[in-house]
This record gives sequence, structure tokens and C-alpha cells, in this order.
Amino acid sequence: MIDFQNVFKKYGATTAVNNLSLEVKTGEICVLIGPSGCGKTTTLKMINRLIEPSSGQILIDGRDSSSLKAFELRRGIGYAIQSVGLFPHLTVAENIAVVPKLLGWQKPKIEARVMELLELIGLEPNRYASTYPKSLSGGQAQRVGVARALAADPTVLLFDEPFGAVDPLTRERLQNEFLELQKRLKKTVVFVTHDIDEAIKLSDRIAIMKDGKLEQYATPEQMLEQPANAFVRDFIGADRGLKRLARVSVREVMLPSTGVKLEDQQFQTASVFVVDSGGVLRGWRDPKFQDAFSAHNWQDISVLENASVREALSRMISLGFQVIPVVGESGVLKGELTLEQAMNAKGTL
Amino acid sequence: MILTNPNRIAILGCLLAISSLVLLPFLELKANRLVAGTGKGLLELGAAGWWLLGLLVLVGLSAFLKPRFRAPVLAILGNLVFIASVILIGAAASSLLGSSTLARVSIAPAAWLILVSSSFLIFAALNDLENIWLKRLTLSVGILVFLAILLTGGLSSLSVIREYQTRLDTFWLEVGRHLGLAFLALLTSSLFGLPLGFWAARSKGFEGLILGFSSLLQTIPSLALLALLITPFSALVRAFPVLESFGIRGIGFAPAITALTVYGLLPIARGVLNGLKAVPETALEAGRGMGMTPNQLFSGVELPLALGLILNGIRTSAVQLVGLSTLSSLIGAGGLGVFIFGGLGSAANDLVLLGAIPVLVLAVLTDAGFRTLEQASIPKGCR
Repeated sequence: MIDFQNVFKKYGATTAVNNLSLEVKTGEICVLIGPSGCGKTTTLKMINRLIEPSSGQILIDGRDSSSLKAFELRRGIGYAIQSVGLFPHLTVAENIAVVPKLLGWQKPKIEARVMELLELIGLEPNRYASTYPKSLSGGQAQRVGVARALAADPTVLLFDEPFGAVDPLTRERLQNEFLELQKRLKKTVVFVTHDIDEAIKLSDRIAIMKDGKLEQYATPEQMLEQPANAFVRDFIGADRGLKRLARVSVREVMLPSTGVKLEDQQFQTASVFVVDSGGVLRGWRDPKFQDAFSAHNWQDISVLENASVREALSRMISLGFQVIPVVGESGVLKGELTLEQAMNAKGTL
Repeated sequence: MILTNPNRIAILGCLLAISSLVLLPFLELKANRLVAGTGKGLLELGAAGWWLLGLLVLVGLSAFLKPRFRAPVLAILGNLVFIASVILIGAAASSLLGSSTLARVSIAPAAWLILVSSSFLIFAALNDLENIWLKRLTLSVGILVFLAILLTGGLSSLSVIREYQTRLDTFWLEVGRHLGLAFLALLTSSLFGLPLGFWAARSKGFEGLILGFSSLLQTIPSLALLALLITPFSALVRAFPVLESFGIRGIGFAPAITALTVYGLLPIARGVLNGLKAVPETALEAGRGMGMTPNQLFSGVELPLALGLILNGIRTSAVQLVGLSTLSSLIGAGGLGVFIFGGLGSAANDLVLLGAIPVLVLAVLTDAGFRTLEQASIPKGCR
């Protein structure tokens, strides 16, 4: 738990953070958001004392953060930043091992932990452990940045726009991976972003700030339902209805379906989607051509089951589909989502 | 087709060599070491000259080959021209000299130019060669053969070698002094330059101060600075005569080292400053955020990332100091400048060479040595 108590940060005459009181519950993701200069990054950096508060207290799991030496405090808090900041002269493994080394772990323990983390972020240890950051893609570097923050298994993680510098597709994937990871790890996370969609997608609670002041602190659902004031409403934007769909995964609202088998000539079932013997989506029966089989790559015509309904809706619009097949990671058909179901998802909030 | 656009460096080298061989004197014969001599063209010196010209025509033709063929051919021909010229210089000098003991033979413009242009040819080949070992071989063959010829006395009829032989006792002493001056000045420059650069990187105000001040010092002509230092050092010794027992005097070693240190300082401080500034801010923030102490951040992140540029500054300084140490002889601190200025004073050009050539060689070797160190110091992930 992170507890801000009447925290101020002043630079001369300007007040960057103005009387902030905020409680981030253990195991929750709190996203700090607001226009640039609103004090969100300052707030984040006061937690690990990269910036010292002018007054007020910050309690981490009940302990005053100023009671420790700054560097000791930081070693117990995971930290990942937008530009990643991997050390270019160290290998991927050495980068991940920085905090465990600072903490004086034994070598075998560090090695085992590094391998474990590489597995966790989906980088094959044998291939990537001894490579250098310059040979990683943007997305891989961000993953290593996250692994480095997790290395010493801290209870608190601070993320300063960690997915800000990658392309939208990679960002989407990193966000999904991060949510999956969080389901297992249950860390207390403070996450800074300026992207409201990212905030709605990732957060358990959003803290929206303006000119150093907390404007609203609520779950995304509450915030979308009842913005506290005109600023919050404007900041969220006009498409609040659509944004809420970002909180619902396709899996929750789809109609389960296994499609029809390619070799099944009867096509008696209701589904128009055709799968092979392994259940992988191969295409559909086209009613315009007497239900003749039309072959497609599953990647081109489906959404993943852990995607949001919002993504699914956007995909349906761009593909011109009334109904879209839902697949797992390997393309196995899991269900179907109709336009109507997507619309109804909004009502179930 | 194996022909292509010619290699311009090779063509230039070839034309330079041929025209200088035909138009300019190759060696100069003097009745004794101080009088003016008469030039001798290469073609007056016997049939071997024609062979060299023939070799050069071949080089000119090979410049038109495609790079794949051209590179090895140029590498071989370039080295051949170089080695043949060296042998020719030695042999022609000894035949010109005959049995005279007073007469001297000096290297004249055409011989210099053919040595220069053969190195053009070798560099043209290096440009085209891709294999690093072939490059090293190309570069070292000429040097090794030259050293072999030199050490076996193949050039001993040349005046500059005669000068060396008559000064055998002082030559190596002055080389030692020269290196000692340069090395000690590099040490003191580093002693001051490294921390100055570090502080400059830490404080903006200090940065302007240090860079401004050391740039100002660099604008003082080196000779003037040496002369200027004589007065304060003399005054110092007069005030504290005990200093004299440490070898400190108005002229000589102490003011020389002081002046050299002043010049060596700026490149080193600037190298440290540039190196530390080049460390990405994000790496520093990440390091701090993960709980590195300032010392751990310095030794674990800043220093390894800055080391290449720091050594770059030290290299620049070292090469400058090897050159500048020449001037120290003017205030009685010795070094290879003794021969250069002695030669200039007595119009003995070959004595000048006896000082100048070793300075050049030392500078090149210093540069190469530090370059190797620099390359090795760049972390693998940053190459």
C-alpha cells in the first residue's frame, strides 16, 4: 500500500504537487494521468524519492519512506521508465541483474532469477541473456525494462510511461502481457501515462491530476459513469461510451463456438466459421456463393479472446463484419462476437 | 570486364612519383656536411632508375583494374615501389660517396616524393582491401623490410645516418629525455585534467570557467609560454633557493614540464567532459531509480560509458605533447628538439632530420598505441 498524506512539492513560487492525499491499495494498479505539467511524474518520483517532497508524508506498506536511505528505499521498489534506460554496456542478463546485485544476492540465485524473468517476459533465455540492448527491438527492450523492475521481486512497482515509446501495435501487446502478468504477480503498481485509453485499460483506479491537484480518484467505471467535474469529463473525451468497452474483454461477452470442420461437408451447424482438424480458424462459408468455403488467414479476420470489446468493435467496423470470430493465441477458434453482443456489453457495466 | 574507373589516389601517387623522378633531383651530393650540394637525378644514377620507372608505369595501369583485382595488385606494387626506392636510395648513396670520408649524400626532393607516393599507393590498396589481416600484412611488410634494411646498414651512406652515428651517445639520451618529458607532462596533465573535466561535467558554471580558461591558455603561442615561464621560475628559485636542490631552475626541466602540462590539460579535461556528457540521461535516471549510490552510478555506469572519449582526450593530449616536447630544448630541457634546432642553427639539414624523423615516428606510435587502447575500452554493447 502506498499512502500519500498531504504531500506538497514546491519549486520556488510554483507548486508542482498541491496537497495530495491518495491511497494506492495493495495489489492494485493506480494510473496517474493528466495533461503535461499536471504533476503526475513528480508524484511518481516522490514515491522512490528521486524527487523529495517539500512537505507531507508518503507511507509505503505503513512505513514512512523518508525513514530509509534513499538508495535503500529504491532497491525495494521496481522502476521502469519510458525510454527504458537499459545500460548499453551491459548484456540483457546483466541489466536484469542490477538490483539483485546491489542487494548482494548470491550468483546462482541471481542467474536463476534472470532466467526465470526472461521466460516470464517471453524472451528465450538462451538466445537473449547474453545479447546487448542495441540488438533488441523497441518492444523487447521495454519487456527487459519491465523484467529489470521485477528482478528483486519488489512489492511496489513504479512505471513512468513504460509503453510510451513503442508503436501502437506493440504497445497493445505489451499492455495485454502486462495485465496477464499482473493477474499472477499482484503487485502494487503506480503507472504514469498521458494516454487515457491506456489508463482505462490498465487501471484498477485512475488518479486524474491538473495543476498539481487531484481532480478525481476513482475506478475507471466510476470515472466514465460520473466524471467529478467538467475538466475530467473533457479529459476523458466525448466517446466515454466507447471507452468503457475497453474495460470488457471479448472473452466475457462472446458466444462460445468451435465452428465447423473443414472436412465436414454438411455445414449443418449455425456457425459460418470453418476450422481445420486442430480447431484453427481457416475461413468462412460465404452465403453469397451458396455457402462455398472462403479461405483466409486467421490473423486477418479475427480478434484475440483477451482483446477488449472496443478493439473487437473497431476491427468489425474496419472489416465490415456483423459478426467476428474470436480466437486464442494460436488461432484456435474460441467463439463469435456479434455487433449486438458488443453493444450490450456496455449495458452490463 | 576487369577494367573500371581508376583509383584516383593510385593515379595521383603514380603521376607524382613519375614526374618527380624525371624532373627533380633524387639525391644530393655535398663536399662536406655544411656546404650546399649538387642534385643528382635518378636517371643519372644508373639503370636501376629505369626499372623503378617501369614499376611505376605498371602501377598506373593497375589503377584501372576492378577493386577486387586492384587491391592486392596495388598492395604488392606499392610495397615493391617503397622497398625498391629504399634500396635504391641506399645503393645510389653509397656509390655516389665513393671513398670520400668528408662528402655527404642527402635525400633530395624526388626521393622524398617517391617515398610519399608509395605510401599513397599502399593507402589506396588499404581502402579497397576488406580482410583485416591482409590490411595488416600490407601495412607491415614495407615497415619491416625498411627496418631490416636500416638495421643491416643498407642506408648507412646517407648523411642523416652519418649524423646519427657521430651522435650515437647523445641520440638515445635525447630520445629518452623527449619521451620522459612527454610522458611526465601527460601524467601531470592527467592529474589535473581528469578531475577538472569531472568537475566541469558536474557543474555548468565550472564547465564554462574551465573550458574558457584552458582555451585561453591554448591561444598563447607555445614558444612564448615557455619563454614567459622563465621569469617566474627564476624568481621562485631566488626566493626559495632550496628548490634548486630539487633541480628546479629558471630554465630547463621544471618550466618545460609546466608549459607542456598547460597544453596537455585541455584535451584531457574536454575528453572527460564530453565522455561524461555523452552518457545517456535515461541510463542515469534508471540507475538512480534502481538504488545505485552516486559512487556505484559513477563506477558502474558513467565511467564505462565515458571511458572511450576520456581515452580519446588523453590520446590527443599525448600526441600533442610528443610534438610540443620538441620546443623544450629551447629552454634547455633537452629532447629531440636539440638536434632540430641545432641543425637549423648550423644549416645542417640532415641533423634537423635526425630530430624530426624520430619525433614523427614517436607521434605516430603514440597515436596508434592509444588508439588500440581506446578501441579496447569501448564496451562490447556500444561498438
